[in-house]
Amino acid sequence: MKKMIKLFTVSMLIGTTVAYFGTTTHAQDEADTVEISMTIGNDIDSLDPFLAQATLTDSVIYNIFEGLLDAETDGSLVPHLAHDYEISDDALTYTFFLEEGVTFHDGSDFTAEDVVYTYSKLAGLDGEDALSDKWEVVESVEATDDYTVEVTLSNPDSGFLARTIRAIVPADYDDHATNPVGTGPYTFVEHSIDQRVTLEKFDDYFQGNDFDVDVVNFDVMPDEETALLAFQAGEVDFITAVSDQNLSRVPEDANVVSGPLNMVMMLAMNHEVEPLDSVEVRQAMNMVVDKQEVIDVAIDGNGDALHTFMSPAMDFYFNEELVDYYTVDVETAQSLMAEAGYEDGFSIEMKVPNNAQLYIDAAQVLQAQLALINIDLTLDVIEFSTWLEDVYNEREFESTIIGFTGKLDPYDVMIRMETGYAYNFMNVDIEGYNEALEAAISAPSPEESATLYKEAQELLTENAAAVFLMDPARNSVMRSGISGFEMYPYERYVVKDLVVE
Amino acid sequence: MYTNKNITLNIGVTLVSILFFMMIVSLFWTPYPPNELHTSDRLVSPNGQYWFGTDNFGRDILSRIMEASQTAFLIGISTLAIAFTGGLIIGGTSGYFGGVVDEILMRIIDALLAIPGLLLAIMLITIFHTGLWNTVLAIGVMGIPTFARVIRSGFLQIKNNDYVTASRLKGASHLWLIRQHILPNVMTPIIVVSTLYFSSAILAESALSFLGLGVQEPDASWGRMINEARPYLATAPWYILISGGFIIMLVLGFNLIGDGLRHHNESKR
Repeated sequence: MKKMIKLFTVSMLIGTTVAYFGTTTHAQDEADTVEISMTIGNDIDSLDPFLAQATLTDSVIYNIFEGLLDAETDGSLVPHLAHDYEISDDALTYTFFLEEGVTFHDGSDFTAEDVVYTYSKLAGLDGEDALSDKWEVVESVEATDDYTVEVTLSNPDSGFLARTIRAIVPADYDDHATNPVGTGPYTFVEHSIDQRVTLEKFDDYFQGNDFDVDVVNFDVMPDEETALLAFQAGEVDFITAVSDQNLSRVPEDANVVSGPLNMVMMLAMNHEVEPLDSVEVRQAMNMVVDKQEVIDVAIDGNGDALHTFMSPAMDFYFNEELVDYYTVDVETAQSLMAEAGYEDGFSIEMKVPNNAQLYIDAAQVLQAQLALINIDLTLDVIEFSTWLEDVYNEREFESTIIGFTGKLDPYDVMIRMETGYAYNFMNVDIEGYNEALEAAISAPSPEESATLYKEAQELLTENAAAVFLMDPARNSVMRSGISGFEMYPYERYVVKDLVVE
Repeated sequence: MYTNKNITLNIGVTLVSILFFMMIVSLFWTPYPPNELHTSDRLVSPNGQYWFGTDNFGRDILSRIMEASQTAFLIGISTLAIAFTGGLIIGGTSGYFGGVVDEILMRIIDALLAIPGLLLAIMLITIFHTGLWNTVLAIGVMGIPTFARVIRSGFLQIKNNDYVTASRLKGASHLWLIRQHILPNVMTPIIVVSTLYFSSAILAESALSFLGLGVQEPDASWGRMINEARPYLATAPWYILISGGFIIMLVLGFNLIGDGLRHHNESKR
């Protein structure tokens, strides 16, 4: 009997590899309602746009909410709830002219009062703490008439406009966590925790309700295997993220849309820990890591190599002159190590968060590559929550591997290496970097600010602030007959753009 | 009947011997260095160059299977040592002295038994962090209650025999009594339990490593190889089948030995 139990356990162990079919049933498309199911990898963390933290959550709830401006697929900003805006010559006052005839999901009209309410909350002008420190630059928000809002900043900030894609909520309504009310093309129907979020077309949408999908279900499927099997069985129509290794398994007639994530994945180092405080050591590490090999192994070659703290997806700000600043050159790397006094190499530990297999795979390739100059990398695979605590908050680590998700404003990305910034967990301290960033923010025109951001990137690359690795591509797969899906420089699932045959 | 049981034992011994031999060979030689990446030969199916194919890093699966057999035996033997020592101390004291000592120790063991083994191991690993020796400790502690029970009941049975009483009357010390009279007589059930425990320890390590809590990268472990092979179930099925197959071989081998020994002893009586 005992033997039987043991055998059973073995088969269970292998059995876990065969994912089970979910019990959710997919309603068939009826004659007049088009219902689709999309998988998401995690549940959303809140329906309230002010409380939501995860990028994925934003990508779902921004079908319900909208901002004054909106971002295009190339990251450029276009007018949305504000049909036009003006910036004063001193770059301190922004005047937004709002669309008329926009209604919230609860039937109330969208007016300047709602914008004032939302922005005051974000910037902490309502007497409470600011909800976001990036909004603290806002000094006052005033409605000059029902459809005009004037925002005054305390100092010029070229990143401010990008922040106006933030959701506008109706004045004096705070119950978004249970019943979100926005102006977006979809209204909230239901959220079953860890199962699904259901949204329905908003018939009074201000740009007309002439889009295809009537009802959309975001099904939570953390396991890719489950999602793929459900897709093959026709239970879901759209998988938001499929790893490169599994692309060969999706049916041939399915549509695959791939694009850069605008993520910066890097081998990050604690600049206050010995050997890694030496710029020669960090440069040597940059010269021995073959990024293309990491990309080939970890993501099947489906991504872009990075050379600085910015993805080429941010075309306008990306400094392309830094491409191949470091090329694989083991001999030079070895002599740099000798120069720093480490000709015999050293041992360091790498904390590897286990929330993505990508990190674990890439770390093992790095381990083999760094061994070429006798750097003995030991891997410590830890839970992501432990990583957040030990590495991100406590800064107790030697090296780690991590990807930073894309933001529309380059400042939001690059501030992570600013000396003195609360979340500069790598303790990066590069002379002139803070000044370069500050100059970029207060530059009067976007072009000048881009030039300054490029200079800041150069500082990071020259000083080998990290071993910048790659921007992995993201693949979304949808059944044949669904088209119109486009990738943005940040994770976004715009349901209204989908065309269903 | 008798020969029938012996076949069970023989198959078990053969399976374990093959794997033990492979483990010994791996100490001196593997076809490739187990952690060497061949990035141009990723997920190659079994062929003349790579007998068991390669994994997603282009590492030779045969070499890693061989390397991982060391982990399996090391885990099996060292957890056995912990479980046996712990069980002997607790079960032995309990069974030999009886009375209040017995009551207290057995209630502690009962409490330990009430906690599911794997859960206990996961808790210990959360406290002490992952790693080979913490895994060994966790699985070892998991086995203490089983050994303590078996040893206690053996002690209870033997200690009241006339020859033990006779020795005690002659003034023999507790330790001498245990060593000379009691232990040799309880060894048979202990050996049976040990072989069965050996296989469950290997399974527990595989389960922990599968969950990412056991042996850490890049050291090879069969359980972690199954975990690593999982995304490639459809594209590289040999990877998961081979890793799983070796776990089955070793666990089946030890279970057959355990069963064979038990029947062998029963038929002797």
